[in-house]
Amino acid sequence: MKNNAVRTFALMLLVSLLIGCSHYTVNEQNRKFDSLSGYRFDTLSPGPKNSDSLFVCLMFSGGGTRAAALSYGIMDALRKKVIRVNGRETRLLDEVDCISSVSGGSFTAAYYGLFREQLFDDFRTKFLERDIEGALFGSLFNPYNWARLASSYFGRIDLAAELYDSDIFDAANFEQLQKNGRPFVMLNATNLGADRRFDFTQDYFDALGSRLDNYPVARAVAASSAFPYLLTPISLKNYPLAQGYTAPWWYKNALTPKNWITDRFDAAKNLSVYLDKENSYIHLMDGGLSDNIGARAILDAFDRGFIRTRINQGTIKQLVLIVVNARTQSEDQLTHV
Amino acid sequence: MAKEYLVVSFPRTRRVLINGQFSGTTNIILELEDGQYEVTLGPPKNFTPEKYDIDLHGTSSMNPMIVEFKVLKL
Repeated sequence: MKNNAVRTFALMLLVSLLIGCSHYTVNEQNRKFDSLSGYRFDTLSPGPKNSDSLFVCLMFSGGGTRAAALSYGIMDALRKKVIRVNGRETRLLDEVDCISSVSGGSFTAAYYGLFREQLFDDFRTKFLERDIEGALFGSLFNPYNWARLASSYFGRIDLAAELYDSDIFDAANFEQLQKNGRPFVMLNATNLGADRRFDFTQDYFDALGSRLDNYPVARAVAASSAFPYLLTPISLKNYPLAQGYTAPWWYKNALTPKNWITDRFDAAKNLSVYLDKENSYIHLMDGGLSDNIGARAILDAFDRGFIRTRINQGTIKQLVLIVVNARTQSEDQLTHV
Repeated sequence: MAKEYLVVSFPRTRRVLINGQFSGTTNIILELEDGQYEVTLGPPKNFTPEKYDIDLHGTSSMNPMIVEFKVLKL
C-alpha cells in the first residue's frame, strides 16, 4: 500500500516535471542590428554558376504532399534544362535566385535550400513517399508526449516541428541556409493576429528584435504548413528593437494617410505590426491563409525589395518568374454557383 | 504594382540615393512605387541642392518626373 503511494507520487512528480520542462523553441533576441549580416538576399553568395543578368524566381504553392511533389518535379525539370546565358551553357536550376514557398511547397524549398542536389537522391524516400501524417498521429499516442502536450507552452505543432527537425531537416538552422548562398528561400506563414503574410527572413526578424540565424528551419516549415485546427500555431517573441535598428528604406514616409490604398502603405502597415512592441508575441499558421501560391513575397521584392534595387541598378536584364501552383481546379467556380 | 518613373539628372554618372538607399544611377529612368521620397546623390558631395523631397505620382515611362542636381562650383 505504502509502495503504491510512493510509486504514484513518483509518477505524478515525473509528469509534473515533464509538463514544467516542456516549452517550445523560443526565438533569440538580437542585441545589435547589422544590415549586412543575417539571412537576407544581399548577404548570400550568388555562387559560381549564377548570373545576375538572368534573374529567376520560383513560387511554390500550398497543397500538402501534392504541392511538395509538384515542386519537386519542377526542380527536377529545371535541373535537366540546359540554357545558354552570356555565351555559356548552364542548367536553369543553377540560375534560380530566389524561391518563395507556402505550406507543402515549403518542404521542397527548404530541403533544396539546405541540401541542394541531395533533393534528387533522397527527398522522395525521406518525405514524399513517407506517411508523415501517420508518424505525427503516432506521436500523439506516445504517453511521454501526453505529459508534454499538457504544458501550455508546448502544442501539437511543436511535436510536428520536432519530427521535421529530426527526420527531414537534420536539425539545420538558417545559418546553414545562409552559408549555402542563393537561391534565397522565403518560407511564408500567416500572422494570425494581423491576418497578414510573414516570412522567415532576417528583415522580418529585425522588426521582431530577433535573430534568425540560429532558429531551426524545421520550425519555419512547420509554421508555413500548420494547417488550422489539425495543428496549433508557432509562436515568436517580439523583443525590443536591436540597438541601431533602421527600418527598410521604403518605410520612411510610407504611412502617409493619402497613400492608404497603395501597396507600399500596406507593406508599411504590415511592418508596423512588429514594430509595435505592445504585440508581445506573434502566432503563425499556414502561409496559405494569406497567400496560397507564395507570390506576395516575390511581388514585394519586385515592388520595393532586392529585385527592384537590382532592376534600377541595371544588373537584372531578364526576369523570369515561375509559379508552381498545385491547385487541382482549373478555374474559379464562384461564377458558376 | 503600379509604377512611377523618375530621372535624376546630373552632368555625370553618379549613384542615386532614395531614402538613403543606393537605387540606381543618374540620367536613367528609375522605377519606384508612388509616394514620397527623399532623393540625393552618392559622394563626393559636389552637387546642389543637397536633396529633393518629392511626391512621385502621375508619371509614365514617356513622361517621368525629372529632378536636377547641378555641380557645385567651389
